[in-house]
Amino acid sequence: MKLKAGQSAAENAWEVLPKMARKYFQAGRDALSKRRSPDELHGFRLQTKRFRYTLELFRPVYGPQLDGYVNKLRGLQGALGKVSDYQAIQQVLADDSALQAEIRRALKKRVKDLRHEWRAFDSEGELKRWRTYLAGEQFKPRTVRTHGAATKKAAAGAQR
Amino acid sequence: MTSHRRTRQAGMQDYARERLSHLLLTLADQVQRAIKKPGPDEIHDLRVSIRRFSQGLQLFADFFHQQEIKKIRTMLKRVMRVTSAIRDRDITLEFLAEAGHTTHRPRLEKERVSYQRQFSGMLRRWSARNFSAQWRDGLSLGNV
Repeated sequence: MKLKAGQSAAENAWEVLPKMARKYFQAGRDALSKRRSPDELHGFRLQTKRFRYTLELFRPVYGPQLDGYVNKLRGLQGALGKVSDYQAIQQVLADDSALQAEIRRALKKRVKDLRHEWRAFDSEGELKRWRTYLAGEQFKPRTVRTHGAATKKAAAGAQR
Repeated sequence: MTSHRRTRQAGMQDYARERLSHLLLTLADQVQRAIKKPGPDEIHDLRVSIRRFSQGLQLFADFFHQQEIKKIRTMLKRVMRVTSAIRDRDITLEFLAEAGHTTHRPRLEKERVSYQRQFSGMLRRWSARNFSAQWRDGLSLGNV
């Protein structure tokens, strides 16, 4: 992700974050919609954290409305964290075969909960909503764009 | 002009400096908290503030001295590694307590104490060297 020194913080955020959201959703679909092993979820968990903390770094640009988006990620991060906890427990107690079966059962349940959480997160139209919001359309001055469009239209009319 | 509008118009370099400065301040607070009491909550909070600061360093890397960023990230990784070992013991101990198992408890508690000793030593050395002021200088954050 390349930020440009010649642009303002907002211009950088509006350019970079929608692309990051698209990559993030794709990574989630790859990790969760297909039947991947819990180990493969680890990479997606790290990506979730990176995405969330990057959004938080740009909170002053978007203001408090961004919190709603961050909270959605936080919910997903919680579900991913629970899977990760059981993976850690599995490793720490690797020498206890009797407990391993119990841990595996708990882990399977957490993965199921996580897939449920992901389906809610990636529901119809969500990616588009994220991308539109992060592109900052709501902050761009409308009058300038209308004026630009009107000028172009007038110029095209004059040529005809 | 509102503060959000002012922020949106800020140049990228100034914005990056302000953000990193803020994150470093929070990290320094969490380090002091964890030195006083290295319990599960304090360690969790410290790990979160390290991750946030690391993400800031990575994201804004082009606006700061590369060598300094590399040095800081190496130090942060060391703390993450040892706190990860502590956290793994904490969640396993919690799992065992909830499931009513006692067999592994003494071993895990002993391991936790050993990792905690490493962790506390590391943080005390950071604190003695006034890491926060050093990093602030190294990143040229000034008094942002």
